[in-house]
Amino acid sequence: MTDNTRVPRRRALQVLAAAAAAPAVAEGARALHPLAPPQAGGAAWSPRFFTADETAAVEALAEAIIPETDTPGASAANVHQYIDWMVGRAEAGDGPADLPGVMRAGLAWLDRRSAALYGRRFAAAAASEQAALLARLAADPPREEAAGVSLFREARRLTIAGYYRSEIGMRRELGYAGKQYLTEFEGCTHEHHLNWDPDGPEGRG
Amino acid sequence: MEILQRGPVHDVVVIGSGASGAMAAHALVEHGVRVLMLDAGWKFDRSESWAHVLPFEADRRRREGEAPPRYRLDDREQPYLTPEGRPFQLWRTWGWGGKTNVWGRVSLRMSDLDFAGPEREGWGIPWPIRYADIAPYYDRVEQLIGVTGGDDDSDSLPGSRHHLPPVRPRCAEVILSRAAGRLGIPAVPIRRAVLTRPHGGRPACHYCGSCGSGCRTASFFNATDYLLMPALETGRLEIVSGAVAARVLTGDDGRADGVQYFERESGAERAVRARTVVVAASAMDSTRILLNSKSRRHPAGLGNGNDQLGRHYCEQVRFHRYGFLPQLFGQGYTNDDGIGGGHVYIPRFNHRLGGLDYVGGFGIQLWGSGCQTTGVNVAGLLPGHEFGAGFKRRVRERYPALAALHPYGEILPRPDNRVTVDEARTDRYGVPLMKIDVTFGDNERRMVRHMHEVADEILHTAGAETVPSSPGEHDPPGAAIHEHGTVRMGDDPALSVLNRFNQLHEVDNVLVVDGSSFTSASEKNPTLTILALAWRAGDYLADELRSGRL
Repeated sequence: MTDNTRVPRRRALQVLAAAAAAPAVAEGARALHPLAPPQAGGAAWSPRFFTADETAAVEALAEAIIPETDTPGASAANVHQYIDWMVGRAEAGDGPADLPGVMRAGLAWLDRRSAALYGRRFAAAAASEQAALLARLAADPPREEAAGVSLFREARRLTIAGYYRSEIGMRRELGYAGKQYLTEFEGCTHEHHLNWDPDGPEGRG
Repeated sequence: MEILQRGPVHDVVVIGSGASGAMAAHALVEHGVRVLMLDAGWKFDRSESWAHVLPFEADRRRREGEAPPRYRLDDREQPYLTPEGRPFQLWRTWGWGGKTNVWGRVSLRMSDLDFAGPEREGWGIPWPIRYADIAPYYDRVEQLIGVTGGDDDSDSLPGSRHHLPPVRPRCAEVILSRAAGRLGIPAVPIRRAVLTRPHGGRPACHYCGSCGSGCRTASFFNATDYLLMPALETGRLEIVSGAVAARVLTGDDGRADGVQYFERESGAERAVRARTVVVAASAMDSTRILLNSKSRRHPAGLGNGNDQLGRHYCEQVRFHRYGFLPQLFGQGYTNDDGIGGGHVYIPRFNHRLGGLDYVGGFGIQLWGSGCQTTGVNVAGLLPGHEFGAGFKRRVRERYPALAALHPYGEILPRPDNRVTVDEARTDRYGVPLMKIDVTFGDNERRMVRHMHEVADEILHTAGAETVPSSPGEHDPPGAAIHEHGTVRMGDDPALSVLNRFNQLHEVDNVLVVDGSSFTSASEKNPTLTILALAWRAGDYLADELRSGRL
């Protein structure tokens, strides 16, 4: 059941929006505990680890894993930048030592395989072609070579981390509105949860 | 040791400023005793906490080279050894307040089931105290630090008249509690050292749920704000920061007369003179300090004439069991931050069952349910290697529906689970490193199996879509960060290191007041008991000093 219209059950007394109404305690908390400034945006970005071609492939790969739907996908959330940063860190000794090699070899394999199957590099392939290739990599057991499978698993892991840590992934996709200043915590107020019967239709029965 | 001969003799030198050291010092200065404290780090500035920094902002800051306060000691600075194939996770904080800056805050009273358990069930030496001995100190600690909790009172979890108002459960916790109740397993409001109303001049919690990053408003107990700062205000506490304690020094009579330490920044060796020494460096490091405090009179380390020091390590084994509650699918985002961690606790209940094939108990914590974390968790818990629009939809649908159970089971004290020091391997100051050798035994394996069965049964009764797990899996030793037993208390000086007041049997002017003093671990988070024991030991020491016995 989706119910987006009901009054937020945990009244977030954000001091910023309702300074007059906010009790002193929340004021004090906010003074001691300021919100982080918004994400810096717009600055030119250049990859630290990947080449331009690799970056294009990583961006396409991430978008195929978490595509745009009714909310933006991995590309709009700059997940490729996150992946470049994480792989670059690993190369610098802060992360899995084999990650840079897995990514580099895997991306080369991906473009070769895409060219063999579709006559185009992965980034230039149609979304349906990209998805078909990923499905072969995701199959159990996989229907492609180990280099591709390892790439897919690492890229999927990093895309999940990058997307659901991003402002788009948190706020727009999942509606996140946490880390607030609340004067009280209401907890669950849903009658159908508070009176939920384990022996009823939704329980084991 | 020129300094040792010349410097002033301090009535008490306390090693460590965490929960136990700060509590003992606080008690001592209240009695008018002057205390010198050594801490391996410096004071943390809680205004630098990243508690309200969201993940994408944290990533941006890290890319620009910023870092949050370093609450966890880097093992590369101070290594510890483990045998091949037997990993141990050690979490240390060097700095004022120790781990209380970022601790889990669960505050449970131990019961006579715990204190009398080892002798009743025949697997350990008796605790030298019972609930009645420590209950007055539980009362005092709770009133001082502020603990939220309910009015429940049971044989496995004694009640308290001093709890601050309980915090209400989140949706997933309501459903899991009702499922557990259906199975005859009571769930109670969590007891946590979080201020659900203003207390002691400190503001109430504002429910950002980010306690693990350090609280800027000090709305949960940390040893610096609650104990060290008031103690400093009396003028009777002095703290030496950046002082890495190495050894308790002893005189020709075998009694302690000082502490050797190294300046963390310069590496310079220093020593201070002491009439009495309180060791409170956290369980593993206190053990290491005592083992390294060798002399002609104490060739195996201080207080170790009976070869008990470093042995009988105990703690809790834990694991994490997840599911998704269909009742909450597609509910949309709910602010489940609350006081951080679970709002509900399932106390030990297995002592009411018959036919168990193991001894000891376990409790179940419920942190992380609902929207307390990011979608990274949820996506990572979905089975297989899904991708695409369908995968994205499934993550969104399940995000508010995450149900998490974390059972904690008691590890029994065994002599071979132990800490030693390796003379051949030393730290940057030339002091021998500790070696931690811990494995879980057959009793633990049988208990873990039962813990998995119970967790599965609760999830199943709740109608959850469960995340696959294997029935024997658990975190490695040390993961619970509840180390005990290596400097255990007991009435028999042949079988224990400390007496009932945390005083070394063999050296009367040394007390050890941290979690290493526990005779057994119980299934409970220990800090409330550590605080109560340290306060009691501080009162005892003040009395001994006043009477001239020390």
